Amino acid sequence: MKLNSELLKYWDDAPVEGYKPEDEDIVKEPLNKVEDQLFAFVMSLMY
Amino acid sequence: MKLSAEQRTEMLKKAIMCEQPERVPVVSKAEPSYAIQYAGYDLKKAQWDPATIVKATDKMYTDIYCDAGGNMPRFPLVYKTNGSKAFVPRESDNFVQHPEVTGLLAEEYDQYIKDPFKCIVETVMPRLYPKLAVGGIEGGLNLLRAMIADNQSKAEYLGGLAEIGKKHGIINIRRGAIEAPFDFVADLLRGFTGVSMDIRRDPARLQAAAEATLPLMYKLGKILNPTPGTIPSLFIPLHMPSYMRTKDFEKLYWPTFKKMVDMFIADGYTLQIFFEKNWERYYDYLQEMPKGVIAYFEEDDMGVVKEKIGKNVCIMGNYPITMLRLNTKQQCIDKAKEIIDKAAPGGGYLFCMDKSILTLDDAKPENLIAVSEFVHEYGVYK
Repeated sequence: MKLNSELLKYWDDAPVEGYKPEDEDIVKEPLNKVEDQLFAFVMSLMY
Repeated sequence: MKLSAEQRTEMLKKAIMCEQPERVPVVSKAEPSYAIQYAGYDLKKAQWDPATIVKATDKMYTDIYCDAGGNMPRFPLVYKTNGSKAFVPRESDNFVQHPEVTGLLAEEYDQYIKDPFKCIVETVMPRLYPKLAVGGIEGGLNLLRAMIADNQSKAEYLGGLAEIGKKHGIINIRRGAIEAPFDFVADLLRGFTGVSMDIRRDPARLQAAAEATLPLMYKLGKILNPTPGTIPSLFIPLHMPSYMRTKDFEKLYWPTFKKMVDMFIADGYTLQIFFEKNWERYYDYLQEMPKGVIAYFEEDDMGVVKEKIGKNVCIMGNYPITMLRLNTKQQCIDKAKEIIDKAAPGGGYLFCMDKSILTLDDAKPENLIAVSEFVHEYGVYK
């Protein structure tokens, strides 16, 4: 089950703006972890 | 006889998977605020200092027997820093209170359903956390302060707790908490009053909102508890069902909740689900709960629960903390024996209170100590 939001900039199928596809192995995971923590922090305010 | 962490882990894993361990595990629901008062610290001051909470918990673990615990306090520093309207530290003792709030208006349902996270950030957050939504650099700095306060408090507390857990061999059976999708919509978004009206006036949008929330809860659970396994479990307190009509529960609450449970269990998680209040009306639904669920009950009779759902899920809870406050030591022990005799046979059971013990007014320490030691000694499977 996938979460989609206009505000979350996950690297899914396509690269995040400002990054090249060939950098996927290097940057995808760290970038997505930042989005995860941002998401979790905002959500922590809501319950 | 004190058990090793390995023995306790083994015992807990067996019980959680509905097998019979050597003993009935004792799960502590004494909260950090109780530990603070028990250890003689000032509640107002100590809640600002995770290191003091850890010291207090160390003292509590030294004196009061338990095999497992796990909690996450609400730190006043966090809620003062983020200026929350939803969680407000009480002036007298810094105990964080939750007043009724409405983060989402009825006419904003469509916006939420379309992109829940965007709606939370743009619409709900400014209402519940106005400091974080101030324009320009000030709002950005406030958001950073809030994040830093949150990280700082939790990291210091969890680090300290892990140390004393190791020292005492006590297992943390809980990591991370999420909500049932319906409860998430009900609690801070629409509020109890708002959601109660929506159930009757706009059930279709409410249902769609719960469905839109499901991916958020699934994602959140996986971030908060990134390693699936029997221990530690993901905690899910259930709030609204006892205030709902059964037909509304069936249509609006159960489907997204059940789907969420099934997804986590399929991923290899254990879920500690707190069935608040009385669930007698819903036993037929609970029979669909899969193995891997720790069903934590507040008011339900453990003998009945054991019979109805005890084959599939591990059960715990129901020891009334009011007894620890009001009754004699022997009466408290007799009650523990009564519950164990009903719930423990065959395994799949964890001894636990019916709710969290928050302050010294909730439970006399001498009664809690007596009951915990009694359960440890009496709850041996022969």
